[in-house]
Amino acid sequence: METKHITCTVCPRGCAITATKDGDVITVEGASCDRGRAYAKEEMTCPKRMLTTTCKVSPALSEKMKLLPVRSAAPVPKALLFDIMEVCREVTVEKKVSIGDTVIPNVLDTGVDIIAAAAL
Amino acid sequence: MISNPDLVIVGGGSAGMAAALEAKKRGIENILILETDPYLGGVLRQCIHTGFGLRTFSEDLSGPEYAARYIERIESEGIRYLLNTPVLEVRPDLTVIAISKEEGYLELHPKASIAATGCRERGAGTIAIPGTRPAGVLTAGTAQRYVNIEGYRPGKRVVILGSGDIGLIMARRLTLEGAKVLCVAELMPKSGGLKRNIVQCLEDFDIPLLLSTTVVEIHGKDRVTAVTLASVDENRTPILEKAWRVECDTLLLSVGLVPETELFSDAGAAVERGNGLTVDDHLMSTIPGLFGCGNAVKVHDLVDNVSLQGEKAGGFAAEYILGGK
Amino acid sequence: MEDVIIIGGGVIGCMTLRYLSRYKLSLRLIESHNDLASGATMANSAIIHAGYDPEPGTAKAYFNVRGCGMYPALAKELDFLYRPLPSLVVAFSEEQMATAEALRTRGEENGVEKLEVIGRERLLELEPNISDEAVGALYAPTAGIVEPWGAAIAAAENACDNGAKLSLGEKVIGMEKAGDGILVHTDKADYKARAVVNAAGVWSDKINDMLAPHIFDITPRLGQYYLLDRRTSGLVNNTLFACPTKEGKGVLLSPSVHEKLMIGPDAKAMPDRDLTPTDSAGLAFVKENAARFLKCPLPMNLNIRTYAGIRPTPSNGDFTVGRTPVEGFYNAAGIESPGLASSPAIGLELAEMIARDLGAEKNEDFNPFRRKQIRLNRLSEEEKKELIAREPGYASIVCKCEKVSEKEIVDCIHRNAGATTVKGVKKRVGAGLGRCQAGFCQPVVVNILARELGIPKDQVLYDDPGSEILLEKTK
Repeated sequence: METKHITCTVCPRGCAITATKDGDVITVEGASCDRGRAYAKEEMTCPKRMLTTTCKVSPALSEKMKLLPVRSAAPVPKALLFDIMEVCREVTVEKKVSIGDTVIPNVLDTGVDIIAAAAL
Repeated sequence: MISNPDLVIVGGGSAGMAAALEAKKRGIENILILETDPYLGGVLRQCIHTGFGLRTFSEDLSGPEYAARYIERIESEGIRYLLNTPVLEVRPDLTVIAISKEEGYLELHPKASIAATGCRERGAGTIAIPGTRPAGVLTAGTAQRYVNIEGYRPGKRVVILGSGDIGLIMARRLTLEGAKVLCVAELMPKSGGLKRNIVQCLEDFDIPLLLSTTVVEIHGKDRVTAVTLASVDENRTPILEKAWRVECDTLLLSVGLVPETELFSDAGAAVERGNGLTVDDHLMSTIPGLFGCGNAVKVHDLVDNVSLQGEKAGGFAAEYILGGK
Repeated sequence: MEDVIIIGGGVIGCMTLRYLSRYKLSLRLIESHNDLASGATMANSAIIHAGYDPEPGTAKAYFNVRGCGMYPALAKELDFLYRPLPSLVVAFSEEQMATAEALRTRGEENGVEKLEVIGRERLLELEPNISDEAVGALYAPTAGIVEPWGAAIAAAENACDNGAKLSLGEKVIGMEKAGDGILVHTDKADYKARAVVNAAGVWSDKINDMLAPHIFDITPRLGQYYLLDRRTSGLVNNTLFACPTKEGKGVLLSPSVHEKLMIGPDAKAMPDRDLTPTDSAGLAFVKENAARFLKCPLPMNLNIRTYAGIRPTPSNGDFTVGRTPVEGFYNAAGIESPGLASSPAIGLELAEMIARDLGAEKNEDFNPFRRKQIRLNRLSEEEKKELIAREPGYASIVCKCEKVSEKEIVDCIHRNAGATTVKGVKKRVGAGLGRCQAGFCQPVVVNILARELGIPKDQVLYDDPGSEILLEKTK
């Protein structure tokens, strides 16, 4: 049996959650919403985080904006954060994008896209 | 040429945009937003992390996305704004003097104005950290701009003083971008940052948070070479006998935000001790017709609350102009 | 071979260079730092003392009174920030009133005009916030306040406009007599000149000893200050001194030309001549001693910066100005307070002496005026209207606190003796010296410097080599 004290990061409230894993059964105490309960369960199995960073913008495309803010469309495994940063570092945005457009599809086979967080 | 607006909003960040939209909704047609920078959205442009919009849009947005939603509405509502237009003076009779790249010298006589000028960061000078004054001492917000807008690392081995949210966010951001954040020192026995930021920005990356600790000396002639840290007692006095030195090239400061209200206090508007614009229940300052909202009134934790107060100020200003109050 | 080389780009070296440029002479100024005005000139009380302090008959007394009188006209020619502002030496007891009276006598002997010892009533009119303990003061209306680094840079720029050359970031490592001139070795090059001026500030004893017999030692001293934001304006109307003691002039309160309030200094020995650290004990001393001037508490919450400056205190107690036993080698050495006030008079006297010794003719083409700097934040309403109508680009503000436009910054980079660093921009146009202390504008200033100098952003320096602001690209 494994017990963890987790500060929920789903919203700014920051509930103090206690999660216990016994075999395949995970019990969660202290969460005030379903999203918090789901978050706590995930923390016990495969913790995930939103990743926000930037990608280079081709100078031919925009003189003003050197970097495009991007983010993961959904949380990605925490263990992969630095690997995904490396992928983003290698990408140069060559065409106009709108907010939400995919910049890197299915990054590192996570099933999550890296999307534009600003328009170019 | 700019016709004389009924409502002038000083500042085109989240507070100012929300105020403009609400005033428009309440029937004020002739609104003008004046923005010093060449873009709307204020500091949100460089806040690329998520955590914005949970209350306003029930979504977890990044700063630029949150700002974009308001900018789109400003555009679609046809609310006029001038970029590159610093306000030089506000007078007690509400005259607003501004200079604009496009419109030249402006002397405006609105029926009401809204102070939406946001805040600034406290720097090394204001907190009088002893030692030298080399390159490599900078505020978290300035570092944020260097990393997120300019694409440069301002340091490789970083000590952060202050555990305000921007400091925590930058601890993570710098770590992800390849810098080593050695520790975050916090003078108080408890962090002022949001819990989720302590988890996501520090604990996730094993960055130590040193409570009741401060920087007692900065070292280095040209660039920071080290800082001396010390624990503080219950009176926040450093215990110098137990100080220790940390070799680093950067000291990042996240030691508080100060409402930016000098433009209005120069006009005679009262400000609180913390520099926030003094406002009544209707968000009106001590100058009749001058309203305030957002971080210019009080530093808010969340942008959603800034927008909310902006909306309120826009509503009160509209009422004032329409003669309701 | 140059006619004259000046070692040291502080206010003394720059003023001397400027007055020398009135003659047909080839001139070069060598400065070890990356920018002019980087030593004692950078951080001092910024006061043009009237001249009642120095002992009569000293070089200090002679140059102080003459220099003070030169400032009003010089500030107009060179367009630097200067404002006449009376000094008050405040007495807190009858005993101190006697000191004030003695200072008046001494000042008059030095040739200072319009000195008066005033009683409490008059003092209250001048300073409504003065402490209830204050009984009177010495009133010195010929004093002034100045932007010290601005005065130095303006003088150097004007000299360069008239043909002088600068070698910045070069350290003099040795000198020797060579035939009809003097060889000056720096860490980068060798120069020869018919005459050499030692204006090396805290290093002036060492430079003297490279060529001339040892006459004095410099004991570097540090003075620490607080700078309070401009919302303090009206709190203090004049420069307020305490009565001098054996320890020196003590802590003063003074409005600055940037409409801030300067509080300081203390005085402590500083063995390292290149470092100017502050310390909490010194700052506490300053705060405590400044508090006694006013009946209301000082608004220390408006503090925007603490800093320290270095002083070259000479062991012989006076300025050493003029010829040395070595032909062609001149001293303007050991210049501590009132060096800033004295600097134009020292520069003028040395320039005339050297021109005479070298048999130099007047330069008929000499232009005494520096091209005017447009300072948006100092224009009247009408002037602003006119400027913006003519050049709307001035609306592009970089420093929001001090309202400094991009055009002013670009201009200060491309002038003679122009800015090459972030601190250089701050010194020339004031970007970053306001309440946010460059938090907002530094990234923009870095971008402008990189663009205008044609260098990558990570090579933009804050000040001296090694002071890069950005370490590398993230991607």
